[in-house]
Amino acid sequence: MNVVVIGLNHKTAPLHLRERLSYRVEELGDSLKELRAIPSVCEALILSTCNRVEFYSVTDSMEEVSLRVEEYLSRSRKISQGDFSPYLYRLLGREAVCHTFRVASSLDSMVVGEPQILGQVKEAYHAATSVHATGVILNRLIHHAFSVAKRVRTETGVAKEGVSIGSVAADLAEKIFGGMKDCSVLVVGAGEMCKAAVRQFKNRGVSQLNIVNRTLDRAVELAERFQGTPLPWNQLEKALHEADIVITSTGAFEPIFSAPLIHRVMKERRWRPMFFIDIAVPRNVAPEVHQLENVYLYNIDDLEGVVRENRKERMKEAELGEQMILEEADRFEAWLQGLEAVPTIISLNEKLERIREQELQKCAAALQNGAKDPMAEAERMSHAIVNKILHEPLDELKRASRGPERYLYIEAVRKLFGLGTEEKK
Amino acid sequence: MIESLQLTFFSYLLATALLLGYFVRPERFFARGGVIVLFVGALAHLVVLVAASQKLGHLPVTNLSESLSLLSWVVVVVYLVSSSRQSLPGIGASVSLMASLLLLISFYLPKSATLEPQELRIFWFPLHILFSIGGDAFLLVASLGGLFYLLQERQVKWKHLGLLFKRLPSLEVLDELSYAGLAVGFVLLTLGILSGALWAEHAWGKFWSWEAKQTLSFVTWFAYGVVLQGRLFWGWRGRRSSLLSLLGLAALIFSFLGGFLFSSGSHNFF
Repeated sequence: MNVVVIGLNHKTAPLHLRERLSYRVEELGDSLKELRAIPSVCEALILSTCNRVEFYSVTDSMEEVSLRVEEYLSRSRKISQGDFSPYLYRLLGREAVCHTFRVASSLDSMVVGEPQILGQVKEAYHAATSVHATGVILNRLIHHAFSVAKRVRTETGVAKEGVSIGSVAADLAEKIFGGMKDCSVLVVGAGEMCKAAVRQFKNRGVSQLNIVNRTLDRAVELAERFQGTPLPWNQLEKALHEADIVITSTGAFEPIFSAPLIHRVMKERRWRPMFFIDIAVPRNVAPEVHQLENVYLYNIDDLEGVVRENRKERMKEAELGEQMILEEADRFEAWLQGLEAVPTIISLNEKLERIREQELQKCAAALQNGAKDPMAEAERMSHAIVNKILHEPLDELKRASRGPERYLYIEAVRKLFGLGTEEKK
Repeated sequence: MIESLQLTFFSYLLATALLLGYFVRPERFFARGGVIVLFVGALAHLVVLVAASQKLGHLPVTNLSESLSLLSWVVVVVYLVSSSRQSLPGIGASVSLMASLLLLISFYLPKSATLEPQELRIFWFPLHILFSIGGDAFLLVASLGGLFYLLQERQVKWKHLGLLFKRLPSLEVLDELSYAGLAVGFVLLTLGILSGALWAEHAWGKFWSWEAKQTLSFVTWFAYGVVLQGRLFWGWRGRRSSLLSLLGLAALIFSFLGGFLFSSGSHNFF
C-alpha cells in the first residue's frame, strides 16, 4: 500500500484551469463518496484551494488510480482529459508523503509560509472524515502533516517576516513605537492598498484610528469597517497633530504633507517620533520629511523592497523546513512499512514464540523443583499461553468497540480467527 | 569564595555567548538561557561581595579593583530588573560582556587599600558608595540604551532592515530604557555626591575640597542634569538624548577614573 497524490497547482497549471477543476466545500462530501466507490481507491481526500486541486489516496496500483481519478475528474468537471492531463503531477510513495508535508507546512504555497493553507488542509480533512473517506493510512498521514507543519512553523523562520506591504509597515511601526496599543493612526485616503494596511494595524491592537478622505462617505465606510472615526477633509491638519502613524493613499498630484508643515507638527508634539507610510503614487508626503529628526517616511518602493528581502529570507528558511520534511517522511515511511503483511507476520511469530518459550521454561522449572503432577503443570501452562496471547488483542478490541472503527476491528477478528459469519453457517 | 568568583566570571561569559547566540538565531532558548545564566552569575557575585564585606567589616570598595567588581554586579542587576519588565535579549550580550570585562579588569588591578579603617566605618561611607556606584550603573545602562537606540534608529532611517533591525528592541523601548536609566542614575548620582560630602565632613571635617574627582563628578552631574532637563522640557528625545547620553558616558568614565588618574585626596584609590 502506498500514498498517492494526483493534482495540479499554481506552479504547473494556469489559473483558468485551476478554476475549472476546483471544488466547493459543499461538493466535497458527494465527490469523495463517488471516488471511494472506485474499487482501486482505498482511501480518499480532496484538497481544493485557489492554488491547487489535489487528490490524495492509498493504493497498490498507481496507474489504475491515476486513470480512474482522471476519468472521474473529466466526468465531474465536464472537461476533456487532454485539457488537464499534461498539467497533472502524479506522486507515489515517499514523494507523495513529502509533498503532503510540504503543502501543509506552506512550503509549496505561492507565498511561502502563508498561514491559510493549514486551515484549508484541516477543512479538506474534516470533509473527508465526515463521509468516512479516509482510513488508517491517510488519517495517520494528515495528522503527521499537521505536526510537521507546526514544527516547520516554530523551528524555522518561514512565517516570520512579513511579505505584504501592510505587514511590513506594521512591523516597522512596532520597531518604532514598541507596542501599538497607545498609537494613534491617521489614514488619509481610502484606497484598496490602504485597507489592507489598516487591517494589519488594527489586528495588532491599534485603538485610535482616524480616517480623513476628500469624499467623506468613503471615510465613513472605511471607519465603520475598522471601528475608526471619520473626519472631513478640513480637519486634516488637526488630525495630523494627534497622529503617531500616518498612512496616505490619496490621488493628489502634489504632496499633501510638506517638510515645514511636519516640522511644525513635530515641534508641537515635542519631537515624539512619527511614522509616515506613503503608499500613494504620486507621493503624498514630501521626501524631505524623512530628513526631520525622529520622523520616518517609507514610500511604496521602500516597503516593496523590504517585502522582496523578506521573501528571499523565507526561501532560505524554507530550505531548513525541507530538511525537516525529509526526516519526517522517513518516520512516516517506517511506520507504513510496519503495516505491511510480511513484517507483521514476522513480529507476530516472534511474539508468540517468546510467550511459548517463557511458559515452557516456567513449566520445566516447576517440574525440576519436584512438581507432583505433570499433567496439572501442562494444564496450567496451556492456560497461561492462551491468556497471554489473547490479553492485548481483547483489550484493544474492547477499547475499539466503543470507537467509530469498531466494525472494522470486529470483522477483522472474525475473519482472522475463522469465527464464521451468518452466511457460513 | 574564589570558586564563587570564578563561577561569576564564567556565568557572565556563558551568558554573553548565549545572548550572542540569540543574535545569530533569535530563539527563546538563547534569550531565556542567557538571562538565567546571567542571574546565576549575579547570585554568585552577590555571595562574593557579601563574603568580602563580612571579612573586611565594610563594603569592599577601597580600591579601583573592588569598585569595578561592585559596578559590574550592579550593572547586571539593573539589566536583570529592566528585562523582567520588558524582554531585552537583543542588548543582553553587551551587558554581560561589559560585566565580564569589568570583572576581568578588576582581577588584574592592584588590591591594596588606601583608606584608614575608621574613615570607612562612618555611617555615610557605605551610602556614598552605594549611591555612587548605583548611579554609575544606571547611567551606564542608560548609555547602552542610547547606543542601541542610535544603532536601531540608523537602521530605520537608512531603511536598512537587516539583522540588527530584527534583533534589537524597538526604538520606544530603548528610549524608555535610556530615559529611566538617566532619571534614576541622576537621582542616585545626586545622592552619592551629597552623602559623599557628608562623609567628608565626618572624616576630614570638610564638605568639599574641589579635588579632581569631586570636580569631575560635579561637572558630570551638571551635564546629566542638563540632558534630563532637555528631555523633560525641551523635547530632547530619541536621537538627540541618545547622543547626549553617550557624551555623558564619556564624562562619567572620565570622572570614575578621575581620582585614579590624578591621584590626590580621598579619592586617590578610584
